[in-house]
Amino acid sequence: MVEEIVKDQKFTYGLELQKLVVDELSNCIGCNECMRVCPVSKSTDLTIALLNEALTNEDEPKGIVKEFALNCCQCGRCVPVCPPGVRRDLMVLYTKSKIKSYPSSYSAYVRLKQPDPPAAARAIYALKKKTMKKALGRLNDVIDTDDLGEAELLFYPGCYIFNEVCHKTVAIMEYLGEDFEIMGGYTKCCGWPQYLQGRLEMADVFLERLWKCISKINPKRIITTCAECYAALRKIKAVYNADFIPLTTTEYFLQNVDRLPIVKFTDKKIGFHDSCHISRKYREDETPRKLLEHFGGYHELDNNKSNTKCCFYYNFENDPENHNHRKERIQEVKDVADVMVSDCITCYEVFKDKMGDEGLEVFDFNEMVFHCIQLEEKKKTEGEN
Amino acid sequence: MKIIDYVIIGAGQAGFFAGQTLLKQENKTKITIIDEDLDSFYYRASLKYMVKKRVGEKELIGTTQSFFKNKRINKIAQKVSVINPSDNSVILGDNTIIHYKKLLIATGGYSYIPQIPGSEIEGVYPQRTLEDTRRICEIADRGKFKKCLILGAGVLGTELAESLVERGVKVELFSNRNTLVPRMLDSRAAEIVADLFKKNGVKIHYEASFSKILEDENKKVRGVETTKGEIIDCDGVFICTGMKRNIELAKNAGLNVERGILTNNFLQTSEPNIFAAGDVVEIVDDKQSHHLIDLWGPAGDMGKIAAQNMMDNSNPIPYNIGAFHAYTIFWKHNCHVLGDFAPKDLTGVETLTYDQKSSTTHNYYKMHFKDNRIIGILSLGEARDPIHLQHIISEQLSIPPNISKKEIIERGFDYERILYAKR
Ligand SMILES: Cc1cc2nc3c(=O)[nH]c(=O)nc-3n(C[C@H](O)[C@H](O)[C@H](O)COP(=O)(O)OP(=O)(O)OC[C@H]3O[C@@H](n4cnc5c(N)ncnc54)[C@H](O)[C@@H]3O)c2cc1C
Ligand code: SF4
Ligand code: SF4
Repeated sequence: MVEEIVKDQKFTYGLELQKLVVDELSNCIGCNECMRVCPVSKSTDLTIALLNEALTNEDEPKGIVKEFALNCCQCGRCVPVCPPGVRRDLMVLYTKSKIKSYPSSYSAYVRLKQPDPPAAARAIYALKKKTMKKALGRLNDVIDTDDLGEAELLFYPGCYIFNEVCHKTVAIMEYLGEDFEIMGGYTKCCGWPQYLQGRLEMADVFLERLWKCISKINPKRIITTCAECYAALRKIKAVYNADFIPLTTTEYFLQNVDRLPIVKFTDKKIGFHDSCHISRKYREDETPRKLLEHFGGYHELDNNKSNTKCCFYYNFENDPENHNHRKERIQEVKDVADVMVSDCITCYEVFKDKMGDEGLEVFDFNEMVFHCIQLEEKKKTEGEN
Repeated sequence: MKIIDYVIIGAGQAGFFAGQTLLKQENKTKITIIDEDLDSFYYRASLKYMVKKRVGEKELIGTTQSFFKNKRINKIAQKVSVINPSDNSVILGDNTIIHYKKLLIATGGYSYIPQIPGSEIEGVYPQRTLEDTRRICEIADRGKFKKCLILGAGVLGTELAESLVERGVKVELFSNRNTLVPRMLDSRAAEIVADLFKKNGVKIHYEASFSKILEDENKKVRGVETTKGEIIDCDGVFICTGMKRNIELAKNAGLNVERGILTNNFLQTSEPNIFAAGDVVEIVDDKQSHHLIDLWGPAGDMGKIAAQNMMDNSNPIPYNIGAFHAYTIFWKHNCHVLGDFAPKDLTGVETLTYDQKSSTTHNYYKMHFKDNRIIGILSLGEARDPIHLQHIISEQLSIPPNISKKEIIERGFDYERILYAKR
């Protein structure tokens, strides 16, 4: 069974899914618990028999099964409730991977982020780099370059390198006096979003490419702000039996908490939003909580830890209910707190940008730590004066 | 005389997977599936979710419309009363004779009901079929005491107890031992689970059973007298004391049987064109060890393998028994046992435990290592990636030197790191 992907053979996501999904199909007892907790539309209109049947044939999925697969946001809510421990999320991903014509929203996402983007996409990308030159500062030199030396500590913002949050990570690392290398840009994409779309071959290329870059740098620790990059790093670690330690920025901050200021982040009440990837899939729900305690405490949401609710980014707006689900989540925060803090940059962007009208302040952990450092420095200068 | 290419007795998990596999063959072979249960194929292992009112009968149907509509498949709702290997035929309850080229026996098992005075009274039921489950639900909903008793505190008994509580009735559970689910739990885990049952209002009677089941004037259950002399009123008595294999047909046909129908690794019985799969099978491997596996996933896998070997016997595929994996969920606490989860011979075995309680979940993991390998695990609470663990244990994968055992038992460890390390 899995022997084939374990022995010699080159790792591919396709083979992995094939082995872990199709061969495990007989374990599904048909209890429907996965679909009961599945948050996306169409999950209530399906039967397990229909979903399972789609896994046994090679044809492109059709009708409601296809629609459902495109709705699936890969939140993984279906996994902890499954009695035999079957990976329903991967089953649906496998179904997704058999789709031949993706909707435009899926395709738009990968226009730039594909192993060999078309010329038009590259032109847009070049323009982006140019217009952001000033904001990027030091990062300009590292975007997309393969010319990176060996380093013990690597910061890997991936394609979030253009995002201000990552610029704050760099500032925090500099504050901590770290000596580190940075790797990012669209060509340094981790491939996880493509994987979550079911574009497995594309994801394979990115994974291998990323591993090659990492091997050259040969770091002991790799820090990332992005939950998807983190997932890809963990995959690389497993698949290539690599020695580096992948760390979310949250873990990294907690490891260095003694060197971070003891400052209360805000007087407002903080509601902590667990991310699907970090808290549910990797069970790293203690780390963010400890860090939040350090910066003045937080409030638990109703649906937290492994029971957290998704930001619905990774169905690329194919589910018409996305907006309502997000509104419900925002309400959950408002019920107990004034602001939302998230340790996943994707969740952060979704709740901040897509849901800006809801009047909820949203922060990322990097912003929080950066802000606390600024508060501390301000206090210091005020003291000196 | 019409001869059917493949005849399958039993449309349970094994029969269904076999049928599905045969159908995928791109040719004109004809398949007949015979099952006396009018409701088959349904998700037997999920019947408890119907008691919990989480699924209806519709969701429990395991086949899609297209399956039985396929012209190559003929489903017959009859009991097979005789198998005649001498002329390759089976005789149905209505005396119809069907000739086969290859036969698959996937007759599963039936619930074993111990001899207790009164066990024939209306309201004393096992839970094996959809029909049993309908009757259980009916009693739970209509009974006057709003209380049911369950005999047997194994997986099925505890699952039914929890399901009935969720349905809104009081439940008392009888275990003939001084523990719960002994097939899976060690004493610590049993203690944690017993606590969960207690918190949810289930009374557990240890080392106890019924000496008599009592009936009312309408000849329905009204209560029991326990072996400790206590009289308890109730609406229903549900028996979850284990199963026996449906081997009579095979035995009468002269096939080799012991506790199950004996087959080789290829799931072939003592008659070369008769195969068997699922609960009914007793596999005799190359080393002459006997294996009885009454689990859902393996039944499906056996169905698949048997079907493949029925189609093409030139290069038969052995059924890979793999690591044992049983599971259940107790009040949101996932429980899995894998491999040698309770090793009897402790020579060279190193055992690590993890025991931590949070406000919502109690995580208890016990992992056994030998020769730098994981040989078994009992996990309660958050599941520990059972699918990967099963492969790691079955394939006896070594733990790579850069991973410590302590790391392995921690929450959130990536079992893929062991799975792929061999590459
Ligand atoms: C309530 C319950 C819960 C369970 N939960 C789990 C679980 O969570 N996990 C797990 O791994 N296992 C579970 N099991 C065990 C699992 O259901 C069985 O291992 C599995 O169903 C075996 O499949 P099978 O096809 O071999 O037999 P069966 O499912 O028993 O199917 C056999 C079929 O053959 C038919 N048949 C028998 N004799 C004849 C005849 N003479 N003529 C015509 N038809 C005949 C029967 O009507 C039946 O439909 C559970 C079992 C029960 C009863
Ligand atoms: S991953 Fe999430 S959206 Fe997809 S099937 Fe599972 S619960 Fe539903
Ligand atoms: S929860 Fe698991 S066993 Fe139940 S239907 Fe979903 S995948 Fe199958």
